[in-house]
Amino acid sequence: MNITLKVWKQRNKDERGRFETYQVQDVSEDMSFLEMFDVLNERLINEGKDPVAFDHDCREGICGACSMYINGRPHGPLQGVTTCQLHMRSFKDGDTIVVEPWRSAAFPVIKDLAVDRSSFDRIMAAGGFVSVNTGNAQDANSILIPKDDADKAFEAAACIGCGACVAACKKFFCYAIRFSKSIAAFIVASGKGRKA
Amino acid sequence: MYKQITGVDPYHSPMMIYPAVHYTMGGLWVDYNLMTTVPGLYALGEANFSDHGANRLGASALMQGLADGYFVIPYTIGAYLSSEIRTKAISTDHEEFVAAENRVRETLQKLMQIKGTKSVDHFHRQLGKIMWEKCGMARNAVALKEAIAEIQEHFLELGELMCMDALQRNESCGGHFREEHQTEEGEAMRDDDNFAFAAAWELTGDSQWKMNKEELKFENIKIAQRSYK
Ligand code: SF4
Ligand code: FES
Repeated sequence: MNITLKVWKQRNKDERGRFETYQVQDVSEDMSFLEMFDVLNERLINEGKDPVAFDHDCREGICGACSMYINGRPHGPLQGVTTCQLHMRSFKDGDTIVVEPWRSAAFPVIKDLAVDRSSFDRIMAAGGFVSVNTGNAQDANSILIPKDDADKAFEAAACIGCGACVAACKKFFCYAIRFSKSIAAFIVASGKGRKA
Repeated sequence: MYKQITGVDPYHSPMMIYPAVHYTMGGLWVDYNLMTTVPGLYALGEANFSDHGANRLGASALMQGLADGYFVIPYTIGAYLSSEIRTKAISTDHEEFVAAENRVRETLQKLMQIKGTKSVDHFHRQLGKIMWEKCGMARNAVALKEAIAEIQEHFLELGELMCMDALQRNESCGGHFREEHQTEEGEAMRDDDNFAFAAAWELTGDSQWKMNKEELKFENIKIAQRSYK
């Protein structure tokens, strides 16, 4: 399939960005969205042009690095699917796809689609502490945890810190609470409360 | 998840399964608190030594990350930091720091000044192919020697060291299957008389390594060939 990409290009956080249009030919529907970008970047590098910078790490949906706004939605059209797990079969031959970085003042653009998400780290560090072991804690098996609390704790652990919720929602936490019921929302909310 | 990735519904057609490299075994020595031999430098999570022995079994990296993150490091790093908290910011004028910084800068400059025309992906793919074909799950002496020569010509040397290590280990064990060393039934053939050691490679110069043998002693069990039957 052939795809037209409108991609946000921005050299650094201070310069103004703009959309750049690229044609990507011979895209296989089995490629992930990031692999499609790999093909484009390989070509741009061979032509001596500036490749599109984007973030990625695991490419298996668990690290939360692959932040991209695709056609106006964080991570693209599917529900609960990160960009690296989005495949080109979700698009049609001839489609024009608009790709932007996470839109949020909290995430300044480093370059093109790569943003700086250290604001998440700052929020976590704001309530941060280091504990020193000064004796033995009570045996964990003797402290019963109600099932509801255990379930909530599990939901908290499910957040991969990708930042999509912040990018999607100007009010920060409504997206996460509604769609992923996850911890980022609570971290963000409590971080805000502390600063106020 | 499978359907999401492949676009094929495994309830209707059989799953396509193939092996892939996604983990390397071997690495740093750490103490009980997961601190390396460099004070204050911890190796944990997916970089951890191994709760599973020198050979990593499937799906254990995630467990390692969780166990270290939740249960180990909160109890160990604090003890180190609590006495470090009074340490003032460390100056970057120390001669070792300056030397290390210069060394890294020179290497990077050298790489940048080549003004190469090939992408990172290009090298990744080519080196990946050599490693996959010649230093993959089943490896043999002929192919390993070829791989070493090919890597010396074009690539960074970590892959070369992995091939050298695989070449010197004339036995099969765990994730290392030397085609020359298999039983009649095609199972891994160990040689514990000669290879009951972990090889710790020491960098002695540019692309020069010395192997230090760290003997493996087992007090409560007898090492034996693993049987999946
Ligand atoms: S809660 Fe936010 S940061 Fe966490 S996984 Fe969901 S969208 Fe990503
Ligand atoms: S690259 Fe890790 S979640 Fe997409």
